[in-house]
Order: sequence, then C-alpha cells, then structure tokens
Amino acid sequence: MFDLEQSLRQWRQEIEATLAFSSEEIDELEDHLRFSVDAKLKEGLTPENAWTRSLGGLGPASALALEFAKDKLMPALWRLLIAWWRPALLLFLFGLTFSFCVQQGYQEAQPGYIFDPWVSEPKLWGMAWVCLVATLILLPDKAQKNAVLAGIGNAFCLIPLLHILFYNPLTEKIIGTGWGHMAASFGWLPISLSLICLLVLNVWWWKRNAANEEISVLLAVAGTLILVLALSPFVGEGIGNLSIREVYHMPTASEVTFTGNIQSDFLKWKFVDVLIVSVIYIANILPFGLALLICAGIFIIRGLARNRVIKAPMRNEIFPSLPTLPWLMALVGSGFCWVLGSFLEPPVSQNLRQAEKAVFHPSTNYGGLEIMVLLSALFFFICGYELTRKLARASRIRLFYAAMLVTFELVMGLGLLPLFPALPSDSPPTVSAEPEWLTWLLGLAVLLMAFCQTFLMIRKLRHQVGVISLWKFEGRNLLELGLTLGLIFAGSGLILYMVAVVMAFESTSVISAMIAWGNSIKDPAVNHFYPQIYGTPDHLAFWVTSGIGYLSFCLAAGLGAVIVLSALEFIRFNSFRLYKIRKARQGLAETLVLSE
Amino acid sequence: MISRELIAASTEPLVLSLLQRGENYGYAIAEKVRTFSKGEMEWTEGMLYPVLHRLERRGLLKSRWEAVNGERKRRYYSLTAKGRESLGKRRQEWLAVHETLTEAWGA
Repeated sequence: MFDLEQSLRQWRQEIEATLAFSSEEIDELEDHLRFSVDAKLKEGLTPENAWTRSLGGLGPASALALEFAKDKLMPALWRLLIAWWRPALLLFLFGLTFSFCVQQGYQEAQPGYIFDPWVSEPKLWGMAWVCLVATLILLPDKAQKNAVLAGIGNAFCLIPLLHILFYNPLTEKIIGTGWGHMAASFGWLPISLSLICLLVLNVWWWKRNAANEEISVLLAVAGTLILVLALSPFVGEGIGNLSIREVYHMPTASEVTFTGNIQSDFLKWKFVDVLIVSVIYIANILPFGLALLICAGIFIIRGLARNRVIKAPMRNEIFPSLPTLPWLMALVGSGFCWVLGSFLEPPVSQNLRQAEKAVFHPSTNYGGLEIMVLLSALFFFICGYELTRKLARASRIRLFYAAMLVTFELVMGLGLLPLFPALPSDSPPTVSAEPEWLTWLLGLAVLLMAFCQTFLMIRKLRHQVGVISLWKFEGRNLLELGLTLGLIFAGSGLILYMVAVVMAFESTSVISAMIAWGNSIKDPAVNHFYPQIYGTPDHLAFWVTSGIGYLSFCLAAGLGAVIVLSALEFIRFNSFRLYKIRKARQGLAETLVLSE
Repeated sequence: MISRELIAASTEPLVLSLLQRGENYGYAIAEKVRTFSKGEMEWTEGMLYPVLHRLERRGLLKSRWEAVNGERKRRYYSLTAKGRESLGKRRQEWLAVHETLTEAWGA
C-alpha cells in the first residue's frame, strides 16, 4: 500500500542529504509536491502514479540541488561545515581532552609499574559524559547524534591500539626495563579481541544509524587527535628543536646534504642516520599515504557524489557501500603496520630489512603477526570477494573504481612481500616461539590472493587503468585526472619502495656501506651509533608523535588534495554552466540582430 | 515546443508578469504558466523556485509565509516597487523584440 507521507519523508531525507537546500526551501518544495499530488488525485490518478508524476514534474533532486547550490555559490564542503559545526565542535573538545589524557597517561607511566592510560581517567570519562549529555540535549538531529557517539566510540578504540603498541615484548626489547611484563599482564589476545569487538560494534553502529556525512566528522576527530599529538613535542620538556626536526626527517636530510656541512662527527652521524631513515620513511609514506589519500578521497567524493552537488565519476550502484569499510580497515590495518615500522626502526634496526623483520617477525609469544595477517587476510577476502562480485555484475566498470581496486591490491600485495626474505635469515630481534611454517603459510596465502586478484583485475581492466587511462583522459572531469595522477604517484611510490627493499636486502648495498661508515664515526654525545635519546622511555612521546606525525602528514596531504580537487571541480563545473548560459544568450542576441 | 534558451530567457519576465496580478505561491505560478502557454512552455517545476529566490534577493519580489491547514505553511510572493519598475522595462524590451520579429516576417 502506497503511503504518501512515508514517501514525502523519504524524499525530504534524500533532498536534505544534498545540503543544497535550507529547510524553508524544502518546506516550499514539499508544499508544491502536495499541491501537485492533490491535483493529480483529482484527475483520477492512483496515489502512486500521482506521486511519481509529481516528482517527475518537480525535477530530479540532483538537478534541483545543482540549481539551488549554484545560486548560493557555496561549495558543498563549506555547507557541510555549517550544517555540522555543532557535532564537530563537540568532537573537537572530546578529541582534545582525549589526546591530553592519553598523553598524560603515557608520560606518567613508569617502568615497573602497570602502565595506565587511564591515569587521567576521571577527566576523560568526565569529558566523555559531558559530550554525551551535550549530544543528547543539544543535537536534535539523529544523524548528528550518532556521529558524535560513534566518534567517541572510535576514539576509545584507540586505547587498545596504543596498548598493543606499547605493551609487547618487542617494545620491551627496544625501550628496555620491564615494560614488556606489563604486556604479559595485559595479554595480546584480550586486547586484540576487545579491539576487534569495538571496531565491529562501531562499524555496525555506523552503517546502521549514521549519515553519510559522518565520515567528515570522524575525519575531523582523527585530525584533532593527530594534530594535538603531533604538536605535543613543541610543548613537552626534554624534546628540543632537534627532535621536532626528527619528526620530519626529510628536511634535516636535505639541509645536511645541501649545505654540505658535514664537518663534525655529529653531523656525519646525523647524515647517515637521516639518510637511512629517509629511505624507510619514503617506503612507508608513499604507499600507505597514497592508499590513505585514495581512501579519504573515495569517502569525500562518494559523499559529494551522493549529494550530487558535483559531478563525480562514480555511481553508487557500482560502488558497494558495505564492503567499503572493510576495505578501508584493511588499508588502515596495513598502514598501521607501516607506522609501527616507523616506530620501531631506529633502535631495532640499522637497515630496512631489520625494520621489516621487527614489524613482521613473530617475535612475540602472543601471536601478534598471526592476528595481523589473519585480519588482513579476512578483510582482504571479504572486500576482494565483494568487489569482484560487484565488478562482474556491473555492465560498465568505471575507471576510477577499477583503478582504486588495483592500487589497493598492489599496495597490499607488495606490502607483505618483504616478509619472506626477511624471515629465514639471521636471528630475529627476539626469540621466536612460533613455528615458521605457519607464518610462511599465512603470508603466502595472502600474497597469492593479492596477486591472483591483481592479475585478474588487470587482465580484465587493462584498457582502463594506469597510463592508458591518462592517455584516454578527455578532460571531462578534474577529479578523474587527479585520481589518475594519484595512481601514477602510487605506482612510482611502489617502485621506489621496491628499490628500497632491494637495496636493503643487498648486503653490499649503499645503505650497508653507509652504516659501516656511520658505525666508524663516534657520536660525540654517547659514543654510540644511535644516541640514547631514542631509547629512553622519557622520549616515548617522541615516537608516538613521529608516527602520528607521518599519519597526519599522509592524511593532510590526502585531504588537501581531495578538497582542492573537489573545489576545482566545483568551480569548473559551474563555470562551464555559466559559459553555456552566456553562449545561449549570445546566440539569442545574434538571432535577433540577424532578424533585424 | 519552445526552445530551452528562450524559456530560460523569458522565465523572469513571465514570473514578474504573473505576480503583477497579485501575490501568489509557487505551485499556482507554475500552473498558470502551463495554462497560459497551452502546454507549449514545459518547465521543470522545481526550477521555478531558484528563480523566485533570486528575484527576491535582487529586491524585485518579497515573500511571506502563511499557515494553511494547521501544520502546513505556504510561501506567498508579491511584486515590490522595484519589481514593477523592472517589469515595465522588460515588457518594453520584449515588445521591441516582438515588433522587430513581426516586422521582419511581415515584410
């Protein structure tokens, strides 16, 4: 049975989601629709037909949104901000408190005591409750309410992540003095399980209740957390300017290189250190950062496409909604590995090989690697299966979509590649109790899946991806261009990464030579290749910040690129419309002149 | 069927003219256009509203909300003095075009 009120509600929701209309404008349009339906009912149409025809007469929501938005000359993102400033503010406040409390918790933790990120527990919970109550009272909109709740939930998800990061025997090896025992007291399994449960719960909640725009707010929270943590070394004691520069090693490297000022031993040491570290960071940032960029881009573009304020190279019926999330999670999961690598790298490893080993080797008795690989494989399988199914069903595969997929597969596949050569050689950083064959088997399965899928996809889409697509690019859509370029960058990143890996595995490589040179130089401060600054718990915050610094860098770059591209696309699309209108007027004027 | 360009160009004077007879709301304006043009001018009805809002922003129209049937409310538009003035000007322009064309075809 057709229900007019229900249909009207649905239509209202749909049109509200475009964010191109004020509520008064929607009221007005609704009034129009009601009139139209009434008139058609009087003509003798069935309610359903009357509704369909009235809707047709009014025009599609997308066209209306474009017309209304054009008039306001207000980019969709700006409108989003206006519509969502209240939840964003709440989440910002919560994020601020959260970062502060967690950081304080880590700073106050001492070796030998049970580390407690809840050292500021009352403050944290207090703020959470304030946020929750404020949310329930201040935010009338259900979607906004859910966004804040899910945001807070996501923030709490970070806690077990931080636990995993700091409480494992490997970390103990690095920073020493009993930290690892606490890991034993917490245990990997319960932490991992709680992490998974929280994530699943969040995902479920999100998919069930939240609006599409929520992702922007979630990104805002992540951004706040990242920003606060990244800025903390500027505030904290004991971490001077040098450390801040260390957070972004690259400038230091170029500074030393280009000024040629490597007279002192210290600078020589610095040069070597920075050079090696740079290679690892390039390897870490490029694939992960670009993957994250693409991911953020998908969400934003998808949001805008759904709002249809801009023309996006993608349709919802082709882009699967549910599998997006596992995909994102898989990417972030693999990204997490890379960031973890950045955390571990200088003290544990003197080259990339060691760093990879540190990340991937089953050096714990708690199954860290297995969980990681199994999770990756699971996510990978779910989204891979879904994507393949959808692709097979879709009559026409979009370049954008295909490109994302292939990039993802490559990043995943290649990301796991270093696992193998690193494993059987030398002795691992810590004693392993794991059977090697299990690691091999798991890794092999994932790799096999990655490459099979990549191969199949490339075979199927070979005319649509990569350089060929740039060749075929017709300039219709700047987003497409941006993403194609992103793809090419990602490809370059992967190549660089492979080069770095090969260099690391090469025993007579440049890096090894550099290390040998570096080892021959005595660091004036501690008479050691790596100064103690890296290894003391006092500077734990530094490693937190540096890892999060990279993450923020990737996120900022990705978001920035996407926002700029979206804005450009918005301007281009609208100026094209204006151009068409002007031309039409000109044509009319010419006709009139001719007639005279 | 009248071409898109011409419809786009004539929308504003048409809306102003229809409101000259007194205040009215969106649906009624769209209906009148349909009746007057005998179906020759096909509008996407929703597109009328951005035009109305634009005219209001330029001060040619003013609007007010009126409650009807309890919960529902309706927005009525009416001409301002500036709107009347503009309509007079537009009217002359269109008449000039009309005369020119008639002259050209008649000769």
